[in-house]
Amino acid sequence: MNPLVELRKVVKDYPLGETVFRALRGVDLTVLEGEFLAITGPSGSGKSTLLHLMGALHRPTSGQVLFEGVDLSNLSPHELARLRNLKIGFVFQQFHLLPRITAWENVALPMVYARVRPAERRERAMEALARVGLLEFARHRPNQLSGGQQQRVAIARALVNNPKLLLADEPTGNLDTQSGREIVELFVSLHGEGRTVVIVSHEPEVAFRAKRVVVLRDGVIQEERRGLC
Amino acid sequence: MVFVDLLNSAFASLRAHRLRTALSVLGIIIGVAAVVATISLVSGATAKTREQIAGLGIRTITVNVFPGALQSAAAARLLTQELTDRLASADYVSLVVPIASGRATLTLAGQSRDLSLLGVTPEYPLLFDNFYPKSGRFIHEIDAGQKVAVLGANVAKDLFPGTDPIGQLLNLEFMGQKVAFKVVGVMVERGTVGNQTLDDYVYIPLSTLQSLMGSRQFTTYIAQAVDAESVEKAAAAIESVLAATFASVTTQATRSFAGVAGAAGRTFRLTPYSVTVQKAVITTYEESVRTMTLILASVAAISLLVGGIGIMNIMLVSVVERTREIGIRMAVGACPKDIRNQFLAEAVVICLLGGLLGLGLGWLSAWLGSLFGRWPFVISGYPALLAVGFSVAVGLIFGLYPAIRASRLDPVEALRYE
Repeated sequence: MNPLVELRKVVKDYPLGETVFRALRGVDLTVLEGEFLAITGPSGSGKSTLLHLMGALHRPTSGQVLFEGVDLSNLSPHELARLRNLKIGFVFQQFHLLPRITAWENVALPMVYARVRPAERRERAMEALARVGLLEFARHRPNQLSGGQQQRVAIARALVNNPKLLLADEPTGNLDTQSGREIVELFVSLHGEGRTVVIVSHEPEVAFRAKRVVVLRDGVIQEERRGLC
Repeated sequence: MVFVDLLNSAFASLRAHRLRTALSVLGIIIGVAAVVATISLVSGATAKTREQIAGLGIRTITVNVFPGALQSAAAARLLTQELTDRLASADYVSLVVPIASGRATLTLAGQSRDLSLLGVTPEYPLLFDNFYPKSGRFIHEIDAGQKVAVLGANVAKDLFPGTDPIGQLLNLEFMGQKVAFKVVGVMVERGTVGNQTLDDYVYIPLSTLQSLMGSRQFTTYIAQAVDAESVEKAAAAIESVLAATFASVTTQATRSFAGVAGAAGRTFRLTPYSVTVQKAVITTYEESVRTMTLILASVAAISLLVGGIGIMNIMLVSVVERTREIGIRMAVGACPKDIRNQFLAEAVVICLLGGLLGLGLGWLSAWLGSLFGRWPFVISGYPALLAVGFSVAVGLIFGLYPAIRASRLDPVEALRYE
């Protein structure tokens, strides 16, 4: 299988007052096409930073991030936006839906930036909502939906431009156990359809369902193992 | 983001903050209305002035002779038809009419009023465009020495409201004498420019006025240049005629008469006469109108500037409030330009709304102003274009900085913003 994302000696610093905080201290990691990867580790270990780097939301302080073999440091902000728009779908712990627009309009948002025609947007947004089982909630606003439903809307949004890579940052962190389990099953079935999925989570349930687990501690990969199933 | 999406998102976010939007729009409304009203009022007022200037003798030149300064009796004896003819023979001069003025008191229904009398010859109305009797007739040759009067429009309205003045008697007291004048005509209304008016006079035969004053001298002459371009040359020609006529006394003149002719016109000093060019008075008036316009327009522009600063302020607040929304949009693929355009569209929509409403309000105020000031309500396309153009420009200029700030946010930090 071809590598989809490659991280080479990636270091990421954050300014912290007068000093800097080194979130990642030289990470090498390759995500292959069609993989289901879980990244775990204690809080502050650099999991989210790693995910943001893979998702082209951040640039590394040093080292390289390659997406489909292209070094992201060579891309302009506009090209990075286009990459996020068409090839990457993000799911966040806090769902991050826009509160003032309906579920289907939230799902359609990435298509606005992909310059998809309005009529087609609606059709594809409805398809994506059907895929996550929320078609009948298309006209609800986020505050009229439960946490699990909101996260599924967010997943539909991540899927709508048919990206190569799905990135999820603690997607079950704000959900009750039952809803969390349903979300994990949704990711499993999306992976079953051939999508590359990377989930950051410290919940054993998620790591249990992934094919490959990377454990991060203090900004370095501490261990890597194959999933249990 | 395509245009429709920009508009949709702008209207959606403006609807979400109705009061805030309304107040920002109000700031622009006031600014644009002030600009539009100023332009419209001034063009209305100027249109009225132009119309009056056209009729108030832009070609006229006033000549005053001061008999008291003439030290030779021979010179004083020239102040008759003789000087009139000499002036009329000057180059570029088409007509010269002697006039005299005085004040009389009228007692009507127990009230006394002051009236301005103007002694004129039958040619007097020829000095002006469109100055003719509305009813009755003007002073005629056969009226010489007769006690007949023609009323200016305002005098007629004032003394005989709602009735026909023709045939009525004016019982005047003039220099201690009681004289009754018979009204034979009423002139059309000509309006006022500055302090120049034709409507406030009672016109009587010059010879009648002179005999009441006990003087046969003509001291004021109105000359007319052949055309507006020749006014200065005609004035110079008149001056040389006067200089030649009064050569013997000019050098002996010890007093300056600069003040007598008034400060507005051009006055030739140290002579027993003055030549005042009407055009100069009008030019001065036009200049003061222009200055006034400039001042009003500056005030209007400042209020638009203040409105623009209000827009910038509210857009900056809006960017901060929606930091997380910006992060979300960036995460799903909005590029910096998309974010910038989104906020710019909001600012422009606010300003455009304000511009259109301000245009309406401006026109309304200009219309009310024209009713109040009794000048024509001038409505033209160009203040409308200006208002729309101005408001879009204000939106772009004052919206740009907040929009650029929004577009430069770091997506990850924006997502974390609480």
